[in-house]
Amino acid sequence: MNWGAVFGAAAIIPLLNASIRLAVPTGLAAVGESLCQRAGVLNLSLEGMMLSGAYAAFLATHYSGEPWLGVAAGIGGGMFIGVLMALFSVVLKTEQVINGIALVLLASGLTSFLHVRLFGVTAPERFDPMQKLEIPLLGAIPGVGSVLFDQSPLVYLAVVLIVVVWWTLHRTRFGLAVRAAGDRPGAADAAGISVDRVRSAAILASGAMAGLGGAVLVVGQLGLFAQNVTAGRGWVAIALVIFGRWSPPRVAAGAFLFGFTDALQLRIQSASGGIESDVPFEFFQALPYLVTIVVVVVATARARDDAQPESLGVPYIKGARSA
Amino acid sequence: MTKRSVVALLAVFVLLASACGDDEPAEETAPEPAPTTAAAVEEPAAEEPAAEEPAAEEPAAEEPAAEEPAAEEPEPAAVDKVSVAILLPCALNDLSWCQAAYEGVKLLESEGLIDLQVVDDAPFDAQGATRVMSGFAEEGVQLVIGHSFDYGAPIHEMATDYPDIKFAWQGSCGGFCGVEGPNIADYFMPMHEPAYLSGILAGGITESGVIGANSGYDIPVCRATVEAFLMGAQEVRPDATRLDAFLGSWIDAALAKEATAAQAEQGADVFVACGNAGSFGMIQETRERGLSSFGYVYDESSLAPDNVVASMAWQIGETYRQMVNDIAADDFQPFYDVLMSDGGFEVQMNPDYSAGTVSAEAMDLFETRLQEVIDGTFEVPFIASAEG
Repeated sequence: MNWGAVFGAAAIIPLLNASIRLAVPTGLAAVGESLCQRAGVLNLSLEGMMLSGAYAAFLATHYSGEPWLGVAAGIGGGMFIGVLMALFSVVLKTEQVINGIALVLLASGLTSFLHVRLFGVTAPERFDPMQKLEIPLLGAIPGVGSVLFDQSPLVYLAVVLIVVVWWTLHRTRFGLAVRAAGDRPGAADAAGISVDRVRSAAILASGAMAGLGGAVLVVGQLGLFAQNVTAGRGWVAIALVIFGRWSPPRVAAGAFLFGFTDALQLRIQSASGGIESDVPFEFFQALPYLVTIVVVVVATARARDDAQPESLGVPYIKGARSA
Repeated sequence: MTKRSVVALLAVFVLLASACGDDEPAEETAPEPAPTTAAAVEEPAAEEPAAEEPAAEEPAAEEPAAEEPAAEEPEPAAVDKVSVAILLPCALNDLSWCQAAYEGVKLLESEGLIDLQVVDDAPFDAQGATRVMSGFAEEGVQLVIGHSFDYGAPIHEMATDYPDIKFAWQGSCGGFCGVEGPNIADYFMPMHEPAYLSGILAGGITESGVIGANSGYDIPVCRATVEAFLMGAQEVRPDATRLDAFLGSWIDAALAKEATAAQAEQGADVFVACGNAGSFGMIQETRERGLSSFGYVYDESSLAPDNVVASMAWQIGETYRQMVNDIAADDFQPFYDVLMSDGGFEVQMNPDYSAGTVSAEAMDLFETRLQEVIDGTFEVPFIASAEG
């Protein structure tokens, strides 16, 4: 096999660029989810939030012709599922796992249903995905310049948001309230924090980021909507939260690792003789998952503390005795 | 309003919207829940007294079968029409796999040959598919079509329970997949024929001599497609080679786009896909890079008018027509392979294609071979395994 086609000097930059493209949608959703879980809500509706965001982004861009409106709508589409998730899980305090799965089904059904309802057998016209935005001077640096500073504007936005989430979680009063709500909601309540309000806000933030992740796929990459276009990225994102041990920077790093391995396996498949190859293609597909699992195992074995929020997945009912 | 009634209301909402839902997809062309053609599904369900709370996640209860009740009884005049129900695992406007099948059955309906019921976005798992199909069988529909490789297993399981109902599935196996029974037909997707012809065009376009191919899964039809495509290209460019990628998904267009990017970086300049989402991603990437690609199963030139050379358009209506005629004549066959010689597939040229030029030599050979394939004098080999 021609390894130069995968790791050669000319191949490395495209490989890293592809890694970023593959990592951003999942990474956005995963970092949002880490915030949500730190607040104590196990939000399994993530895939639905992404899909809903993807479809809202598609509709807005299709009808307005303005991709940034699509991005805003994508955020709104994710938050729409977030509102339902908050209503079920925080206000009504029903089982979070079931709420999440139901909302994924809702989003999948609703988007597919609307798509056929709105467009019938005439597929809507595709639009051009958002252009790349080269940051002056920095983008011209050979090598790293094109990886770091010549990307879709949505990539920069994603990086900013990831930093904002991290900063909020660890450097603000709200972040403290989030962590308290996830670890000791009773204590947080006693300290005057409205656990319900904090958890709802975290769910909405998670919806916004997942919706943006879906919008990146549609507005930033494909220029069209296809049924269930998010293709399971939301589920991967939930796994990445555990991978990253509920820490936004580590979760983002996990997303990059996953994207990198995915980009790599596509290149190895192509360079290694494809269907003539003795290695079954399933091995390549499994590679991102295998690598992630290995890293999780190693990271968990080395970690001293248990990073999982203590009250993750437990509805907080004021006055009720917690276990 | 009490909390309980709010939950109940929302539960109904979720139920409705995800009607015949099921979670993750698996094989052959995008799957997943939701009704669609199904305004009809919506209304009757709406009156249902909301199940209680968490039931929301169990959309199973909803019978999508009743989809278009209008179709069954009203006209007694339609005695000799064959009643047909079809399960499409994706959206009927997907510009590909499901749209081709949808238009195929619609054609027969418009010709007055059949009474038609369609479930698009049908459940993809065996359990969900069985639920829908047995609904049609109980109703007495004469022919139940499952338009996916994955519907073979559930059909095999249930067909013996309904000996008077005919079942058809898209297996392309010719009897080798263990799905059999006197009332089961497997229908073939002769994609290798248009793929070979398209490959000839590709051979006349490529400058690098490298073809890029992505497939959803490593299944016989996809192997045969990419092999035939390369074979065609080599008729014009004997040195042509092919890069392959399997996505492990029929729905991940963004991953297919990245596969195409990877192959373009490795020198490929003409692309073919086996899978509907795979073709969406591929076509978008060739559009951004100014390269050439081919449409999958349906005319996809609208996705990139400059870049789509031609589309391999499946005329599935011809396959269904034979089945329906055979049912009317009480002569149902176990295997239907309607090839290009019977109008089963077309290579639809895109007149606006401008990203490359098909050499005159390739164009001539294409015309010649096309005629030979249609006449049945040239047989394109179906190479489904590495051994040939």
